[in-house]
Amino acid sequence: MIDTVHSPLGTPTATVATTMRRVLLALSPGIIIYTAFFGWGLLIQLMLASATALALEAIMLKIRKRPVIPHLTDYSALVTAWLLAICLPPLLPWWMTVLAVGFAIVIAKHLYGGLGSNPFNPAMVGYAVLLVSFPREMTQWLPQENGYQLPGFADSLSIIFQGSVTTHLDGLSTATPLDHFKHSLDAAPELTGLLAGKHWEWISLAWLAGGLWLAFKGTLDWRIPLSLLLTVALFSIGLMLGTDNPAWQNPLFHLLSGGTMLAAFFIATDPVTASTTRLGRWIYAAGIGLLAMIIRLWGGYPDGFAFAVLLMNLAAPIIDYLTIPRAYGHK
Amino acid sequence: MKHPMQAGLALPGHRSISTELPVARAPVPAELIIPVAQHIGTPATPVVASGDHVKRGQLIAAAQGFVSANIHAPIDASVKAIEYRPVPHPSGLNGMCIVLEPDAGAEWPSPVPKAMDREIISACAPMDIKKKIRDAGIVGLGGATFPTSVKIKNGIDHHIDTLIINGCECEPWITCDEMLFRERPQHVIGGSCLIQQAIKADKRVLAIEEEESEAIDLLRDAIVDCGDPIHLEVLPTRYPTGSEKQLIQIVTDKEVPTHGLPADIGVAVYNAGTAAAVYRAVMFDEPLISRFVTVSGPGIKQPRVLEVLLGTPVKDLIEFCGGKTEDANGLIMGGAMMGLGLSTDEVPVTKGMNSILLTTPAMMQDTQGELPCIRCGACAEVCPSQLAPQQLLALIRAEDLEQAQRWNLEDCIECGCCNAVCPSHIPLSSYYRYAKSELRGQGMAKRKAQQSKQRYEFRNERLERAKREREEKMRKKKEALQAANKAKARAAMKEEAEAAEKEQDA
Repeated sequence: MIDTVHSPLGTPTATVATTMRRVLLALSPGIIIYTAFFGWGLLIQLMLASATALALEAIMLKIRKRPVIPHLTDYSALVTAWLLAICLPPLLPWWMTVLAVGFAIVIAKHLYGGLGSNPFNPAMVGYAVLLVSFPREMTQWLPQENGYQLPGFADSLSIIFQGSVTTHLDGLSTATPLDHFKHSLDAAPELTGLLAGKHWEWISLAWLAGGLWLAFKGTLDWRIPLSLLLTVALFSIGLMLGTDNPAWQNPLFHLLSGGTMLAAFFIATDPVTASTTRLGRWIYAAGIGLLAMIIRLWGGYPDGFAFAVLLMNLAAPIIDYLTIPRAYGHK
Repeated sequence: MKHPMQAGLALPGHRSISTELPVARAPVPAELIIPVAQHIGTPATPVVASGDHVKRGQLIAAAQGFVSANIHAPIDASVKAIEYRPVPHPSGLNGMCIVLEPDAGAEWPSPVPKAMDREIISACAPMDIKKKIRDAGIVGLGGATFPTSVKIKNGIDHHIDTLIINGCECEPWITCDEMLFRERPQHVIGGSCLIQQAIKADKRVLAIEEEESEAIDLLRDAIVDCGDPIHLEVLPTRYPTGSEKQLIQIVTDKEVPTHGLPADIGVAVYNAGTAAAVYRAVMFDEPLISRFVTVSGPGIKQPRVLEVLLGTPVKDLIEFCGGKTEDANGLIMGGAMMGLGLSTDEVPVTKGMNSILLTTPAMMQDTQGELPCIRCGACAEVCPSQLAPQQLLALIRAEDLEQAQRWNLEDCIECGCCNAVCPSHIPLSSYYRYAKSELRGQGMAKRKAQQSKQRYEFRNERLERAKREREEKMRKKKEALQAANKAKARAAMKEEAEAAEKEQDA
């Protein structure tokens, strides 16, 4: 007798860890540009969120009696941590970041069954918890005016961890550019001299570059960003014909400001919480684009992608059910 | 090519290692083990007894019913026993076998002639061809082992637009059809002429993969020699091009309906090896008693293609090919993607065995690193049946087979492409295999229950009817009796009245 082997033979070359590492790599250009424009805050938040996420992931795996090392090295907790940190204001108090990561990893991910079983995008759950609990802190961003002195590393650390500043800084925070536009009657170009809020369009372009690389590598499904961006573009073009507020008239503004690019390539593309059929992914991403635009324009929050993603997460199972692909031989 | 395959995989073919040497005839073994079930359908019934002497080509087990196939003695031999032996079957159970002991000095006959006589082929009548195929016990040699005569009958009953001879060996390592093309292209072409004549297809296509490059020119020459309008379709090497449904779509841009047959859309597909077997059966009256088998894989010392008498133990082939390497750890019948793992090399070569693969630990799927499904959909991108494997997995794990059917589980061809791309290293096709057999089981149980119900209802109705008939009879009898009594009474009254009248008269 010999051991019975089973077909198909061979181990796939792809791994979950490769996928997740690629996502981290694709986020890097945006993170570098972000840091160049807005200082050390984001990097500190990234470190803080990563450490918290890995520690909580390990604890939860242990409690759930799952193998710790294989799951910890799949990099999925890091992806959640990074996406969450990127969405947060860079000088947010440390405990808020920890709280958000805790909600993401413990509640949104592990209490729902861990990797692959969570119905809601963990990073967006963490973000939404902070946004509804601490709306003021969550909408305070670093000013973008010329001549503004960015806080240094030590200052950023002490602001984040102690809530105090050792050196003198002129005003630390401002509303998001989207908020500015929303509550201002001024025309957008006059406010900043640039398209989508100073510096933000460059960061958006960096997300776009990283996202295109992921799509090229086949790591993300291109249907999702394409459908989402098309929806945003078509919606704002439609708006151009219907309103006379010049701030809303430029589709490029909507594509390059706020969370559009990040959501299109890195958040809506989370396969676990997205619709899983091809047609379903078109519908799912279009739904996110549409809801986000509605919230952005008429809702109480400056940007709407977190809620749009969570709402469409809710709809993903029914979208799947209604878009069962036509199999071979079924006409 | 009308519909290039988008899904599927480009896999390394590993062809060259087994095609360097010409085809050799495996020596006649000490014992031939011939299972009575080597085809889809009812097993054949032995028509010889232990101790009988049989001649090469003599019928030893006869087909039972329509979907079944004859089995013949591969060589002059005596019947040693009819008993249960290990057979290559997914169940791993032993099967009924006729064990033959070849006569001392019994050898392969001299090589069959290669040339093809077009005129003799043209003279064959369709019904004769069909009968000879049936008598010769030919089944689909690509591995499916469906009785060929049944397929021919289907082809005669339907209008066939395109006859496809399938020479695409898309599974890695398998090369027996390529070697058949290289050594006996005339047999394949001649066989295609005979099948064409039997089923009267409008067009004939010979499909082959571009990786079988050495065979292409030889086939082209054989087609020219034959003179028939046969279209040689050279397809890109992509797994699973050789799967019947996928090949039909690639060549004709038509899809076989989910519960239908290729004949329903006017297409018939025959494996190249089957065509060659048809040729030999009709032209030389030679039943199916041997076939080409690839012996390959990293676990064999001298990989090559052998011509083998059916019933030869697999271990004899391994020995003839120089034996196993030290790290050989397993044995697969068929290909690396869809083959059947064998638990012993004592099993014999059967009609459907196109390849024996000796594996090494390096080829094994790593099951340690399995992670949860992240629904990435890589499997859906490669699925040739356009399913959503990630959804099927979730539904099967939740034991919701009804919902899995809605997601077209039964259209899965178990090709294993999904396994090969899964970043979570989940053995997806094993789940589908399991769920499909589970559904079949349920279907059978359901059918059985329905049958019992029907029988019960029929019995009830029968009893009811009998009762009704009995009652009817009784009623009629009663009525008749009553009528008779009435008549009697009336007659008596009449008599009395007459008597009274007479009295009065008197």
